[in-house]
Amino acid sequence: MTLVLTEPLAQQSPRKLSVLNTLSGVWLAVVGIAALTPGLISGVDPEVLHPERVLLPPGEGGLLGTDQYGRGVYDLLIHGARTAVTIGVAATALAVLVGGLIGLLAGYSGGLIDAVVGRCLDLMLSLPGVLLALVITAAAGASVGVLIISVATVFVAGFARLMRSQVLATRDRLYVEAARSVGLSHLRILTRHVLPNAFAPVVVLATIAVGEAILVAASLSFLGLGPKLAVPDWGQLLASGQPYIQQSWWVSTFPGIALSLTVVAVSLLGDRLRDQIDG
Amino acid sequence: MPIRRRLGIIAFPAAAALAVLSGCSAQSSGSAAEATPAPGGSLTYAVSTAFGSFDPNVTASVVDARVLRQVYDSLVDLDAEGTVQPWLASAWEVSDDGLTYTFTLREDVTFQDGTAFDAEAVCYNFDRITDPATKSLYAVSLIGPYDSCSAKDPATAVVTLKNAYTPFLTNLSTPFLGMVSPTAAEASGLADFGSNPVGSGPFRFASYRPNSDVVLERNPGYNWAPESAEHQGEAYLEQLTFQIIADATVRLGSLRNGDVQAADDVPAQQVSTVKQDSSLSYLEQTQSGATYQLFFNTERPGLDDPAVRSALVKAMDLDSAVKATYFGAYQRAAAPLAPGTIGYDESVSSGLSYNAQAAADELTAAGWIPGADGVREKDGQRLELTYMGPSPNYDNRQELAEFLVQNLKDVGVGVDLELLPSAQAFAMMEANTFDIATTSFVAVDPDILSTLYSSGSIFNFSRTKAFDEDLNQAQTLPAGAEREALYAQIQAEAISGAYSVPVYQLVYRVATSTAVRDIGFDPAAYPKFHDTYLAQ
Amino acid sequence: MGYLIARRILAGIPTLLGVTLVVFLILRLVPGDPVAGLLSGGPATPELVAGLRAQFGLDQPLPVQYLSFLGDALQGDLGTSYATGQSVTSMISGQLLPTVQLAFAAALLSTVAGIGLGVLAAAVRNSFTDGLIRVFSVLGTAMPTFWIGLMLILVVSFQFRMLPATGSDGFQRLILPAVALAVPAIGVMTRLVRANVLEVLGENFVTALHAKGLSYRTILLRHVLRNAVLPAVTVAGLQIGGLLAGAVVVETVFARQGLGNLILQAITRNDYPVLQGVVIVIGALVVLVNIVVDLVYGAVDPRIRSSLAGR
Repeated sequence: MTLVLTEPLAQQSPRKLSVLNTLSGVWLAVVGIAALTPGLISGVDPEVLHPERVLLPPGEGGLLGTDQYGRGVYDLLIHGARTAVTIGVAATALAVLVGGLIGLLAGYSGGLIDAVVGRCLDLMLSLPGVLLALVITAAAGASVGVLIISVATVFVAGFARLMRSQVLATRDRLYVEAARSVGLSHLRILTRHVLPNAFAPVVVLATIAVGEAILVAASLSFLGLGPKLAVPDWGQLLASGQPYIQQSWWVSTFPGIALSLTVVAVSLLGDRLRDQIDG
Repeated sequence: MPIRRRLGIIAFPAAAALAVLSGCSAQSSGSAAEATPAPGGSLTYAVSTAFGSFDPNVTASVVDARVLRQVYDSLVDLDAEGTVQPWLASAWEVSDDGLTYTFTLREDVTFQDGTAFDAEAVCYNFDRITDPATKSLYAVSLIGPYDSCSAKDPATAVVTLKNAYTPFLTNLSTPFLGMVSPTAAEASGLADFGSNPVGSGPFRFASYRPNSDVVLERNPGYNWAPESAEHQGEAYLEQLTFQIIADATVRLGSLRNGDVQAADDVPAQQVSTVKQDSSLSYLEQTQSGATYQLFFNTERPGLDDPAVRSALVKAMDLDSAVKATYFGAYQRAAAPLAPGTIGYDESVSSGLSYNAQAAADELTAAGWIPGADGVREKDGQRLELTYMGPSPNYDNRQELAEFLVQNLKDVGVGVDLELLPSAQAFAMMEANTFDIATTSFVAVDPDILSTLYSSGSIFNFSRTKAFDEDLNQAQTLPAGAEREALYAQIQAEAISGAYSVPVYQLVYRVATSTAVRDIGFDPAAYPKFHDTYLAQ
Repeated sequence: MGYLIARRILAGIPTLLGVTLVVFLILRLVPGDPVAGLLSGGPATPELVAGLRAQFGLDQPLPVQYLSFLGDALQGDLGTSYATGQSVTSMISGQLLPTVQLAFAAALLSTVAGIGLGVLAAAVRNSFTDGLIRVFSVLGTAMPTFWIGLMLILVVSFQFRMLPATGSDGFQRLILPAVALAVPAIGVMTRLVRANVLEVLGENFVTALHAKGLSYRTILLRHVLRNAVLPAVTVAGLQIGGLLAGAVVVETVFARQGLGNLILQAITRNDYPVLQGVVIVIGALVVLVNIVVDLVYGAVDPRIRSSLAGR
C-alpha cells in the first residue's frame, strides 16, 4: 500500500464540502455505534443460524437479505463492524507508536543510528507490505492480535520516515539550537518543540492509514487468513458469499460497499483535518 | 515423505476408492435432441481440483482417477448392476479356497507405446504395485493380501493371494488398478511415469501442465472397450482436455462463455439454475462407496458413553441442515454405504430422528447437567467437544458443520469447530484430540467399511474395535447374500451404537453444453469419454 | 551512465539481502515446527522427526541455515518444497510470468488512465467532470481489489457475458484482473497528476508563457504536461511493488495462474520454502523495478542525472 499525500478531495464550494463531510461524519458515527454497541441498531443475535431462511434476497430476508446460514446480512454487518474498526484503529495506533519512536530516535540521534535506521526503513518500504503481513499471519496463525501486528508492520516504516523528517525539520530550526544552548533537557525539547510540530502531519497520515489498514485486514480475511470469530468480519463475510454470488449477490456486495464507504469517510475526515491544521 | 502428505491432501477432503452398481447412464436433463455419433472434435472438461499423479499404482486421488479412467483399461469392468464383467481379461476362474485367480486375457490388446498386453504385463503391474519402492498410496490396499503372480502362457495370468479376499475382483475394475505399460513404466522410472502415463485406454496422454491442464488425444486403433460401452472401436473425440478451474463460479462461467464444454462439481446452490438453463445439460451420478458421515470419537471423555452419543445424534436436525446447505441437490444419507454399493440397506438407519427435547432429557439422565453458562457438566467435567471440519470449504461442508454445531449448542453441548487444512487435520487425528470428525469415501466394494470401522484404519474416527471380527469375516465370505447380510448388520450396529451417523449422499454433478453427448459414468461416478461425441 | 547503473545495482544488493533476512527470520522465529506439517499421515516417531529436520537442514543453527540458504539462492536454488518435493525455483518460474504480466498490465493501465484523468480533471478544474473524476479517484482507492474483481465478474462476465471471468491464457483474460488491480492505483495516480498539473500551472513560467500569447491548450500539452507527469512516472514505478502483492489477491478472485495461487497453496500446506521463495522473488522484482525507475527518471531529467553523477 502506498500512502500518498495529495491535495484534499474537496476544494469545492464550501457548501458541497460540508454536505460530504456531514455524510461521512454520519456514516462514521453509525460505524462507531455499531462497533461499540451493536445491540443498539440491530436487536438480532447474529450468532443464531436459521436453516429455514438461507439466502433470501433483500426484502424477503430483511433489509439486506440473508446469508447462507440464514442470518441477516444487515445484522452481520453491524455486528462485524467491531473487528474492522478495532483492527483499523489498533493497527494504526501501533504503527504510529512504533514508527514514531523509531523515527524520533533516528532523527534525534542522527549519525550512525540514523543511517542504519534509514537503510532498514528503505528495506521495509521496498517489500510489499501486504505480502509481509501475509507471511506474518500465515506463520503466526490467525488471531485478532496477530492481524493487528501484521497490518501494523505495513505502516510502521511510513510513520517512522515521516517522524524522522519532522524531527530533522524541527531540529534544524534555530530555536531548538537556542533551546539547547539555554540548557533544556532532551525530554523537554522533545515534548515542547519536536512532538507538537510533528503532531499534525502524523494525524493526517494516521487517518489515511486507518482506511488502508481496514482494507489490508479485509484482504487477509478474504484470503482465509482472518481470525476465527463467532460473527464474521466484513472481509470474511464477503469471501464466504463469493461461492453464492451468482444467485445471491447481496451476501458479498453489501460488505464491500460498507468497507468502501468507511474508507472513503475516513479519508474525507483526514482531508478535513488537514485543512483545519493547515489553517 | 511428500507422498505421505499427498495422501492427506487428497484422501481427506474428497476421499478415494470404488464400489459396485448404480447406473452407467446418468440422469440427464436439458434439451438433448437426437443426434448421430460422429468422430472428431475436441472437448474441454473443467475439473475443480488440481491433479497429483497419473500413475494409477501410486495415486489415491479421485480427481486423478477421472483422467486415469481414459488412459488405462482394467482387467475387469463393473456394470451398472454391480456385476463384474470382462474387459482386458476375457474370462477368469477363482479357486474354491478363494486364493487363486486364473485370468484369461484378450490377445488383441496393445499399450499406447506399442508394447503388447500379455500375462507378463499383468504380473509386472501387480509386482510393481506391491514393490515398496513404488510407495503405492492406494492401489496396494485394493489388492489386499496379494502374494504372487505368474504368467502360465502369454494369455493366462495366475494370481495367488495369501488369504481369501473377496474385494479383490471388484477392486480390479477401478482405474487405480488400470494396466500400465511395463516398457513405459520402466523407461520413465517412478519419478516421471506419473507425468508421462502410458496405458491401453481409449485416450493417450499428450501433455500436462501442473495446476493448469492435461491434454489427451484419441488412441488410434483402440478396439477393446468393455461390453458396457455404447460402441466398439476408437473414441469419437479427437482431443480431450481436463482443465483445472478451482473456483466454482468461474468454472460454470467458463462453461457458459464457451471456454469449456463441460464443468464438474456443480455447486449445490447452482444446480437448479443449471437445470433451468436451456443452453446446458446437467448430469448427475450417485457415487458408490461410503456416504458423508459424522463420527463420534469413543475414546474421548463423555463420548465413551453410548447414551451420550445417541443423545447427540438426536440433537442434530440433519434433514434441515442438509436441505439448507444443499438446496435439494443432495439427499440425506440413509446408511454408511451409498445406494448402489453391494450391501446397501436403507433400513439400517430406521429409528433415527431429530428430537432436541429427547436429546436434552437423555443427556440429563446420563448425568450431564447444564452449568451456569448453559454448558452441561458431570463430575466437574464440561461437555465441550472439538468438531474437526475441512478447510478449504469442500462441498459446503463448513456450512453444514455450522448448522450441526448450533443444534448441539442448543442442547447444552459446547462445541469448538476447528476448520483444518488436511495437514493439521492429520496432526489432530494422530494426537486423537478431536471429538467429532467427518468423512466420505468413493469405493466399489463394501469392504470400504473396514476403512471406517476397523481398528487398524486411521479413518476409523470413532476409534471402535467392536467390528474387527465381523469386518475380517466379511472380507473372506464369497460374494452373495450372506456377505451382504453381514455388511448390513455391521452398518445397523454402527448406527444403533451411535459410532457414526450418515449425513448426506455424494453425487457427482456435471454440467455440459448441450452439444456434448454420451458422457458415461462408472458406478463410482468416474466419467468415461469413449462414447462421448459432439452433436453438430 | 554505465557507472550509474552499476552503482544503483550495487546499492540494491543490501536491500535484497535485508529482504531475504527479514522473510527468513519471520518464518523461523514464529512458533510452530515446519516439520510438523510434513508428518501428517504417519506416526511421528522422534527418529522420523529428527531425520526430517536433518534432511531439510533444520537441525543447524539459524545463522548456518541462513548462510546456506543464501549460498544456494545465489546459485538460483531456492530450496525444495516440503509438500511436493519439487524445486522451489522451478515452481516459481512456472508461475512468475502470469503474475508479472498482470502487475505490469495494471501498472501500464493505471499510469495511462491516471495521467489522462488527472490532466483532464486539472484542465477542467472545478467542473462537473472534475468532480466526477475526483469522486471516482477517492472511491477507487477505498474499494478492496478483490471486491472490485467480484463485481467485475458479476457484471461484465455474468450479466453481459462480455469477457471471460477465468484463466491465464491470452489478452482477453488479462483485462478484468488488470482493471480490478489497477483501479486503486488509478485513483492514486489521478489525484497526484491533477495536483501536479495545478501546481505547475500556477508557476511563474506558465504565466510568462501565457503572457507571450500561447494558448491555454498549447501551454498545457507542451509545457505543463512534461513537468507534471515526470513525478507520476516515479510513483508508477513505486506502485509496482504494491501491484505485485495485490496481484496475489486478485489472482484468487479470477482463479488465475500465478504466484498468488502458489503462495496460498503454500500457506495451507505450511510449505515454508515455497512461501519464502515467492516473497523473496517478489522483493527482488520490486528492488529491480525501483532501480529501473531511478535510471529512467535520471535519463529523462538531466538535473537528477548530474546530481547523482557528480557525487
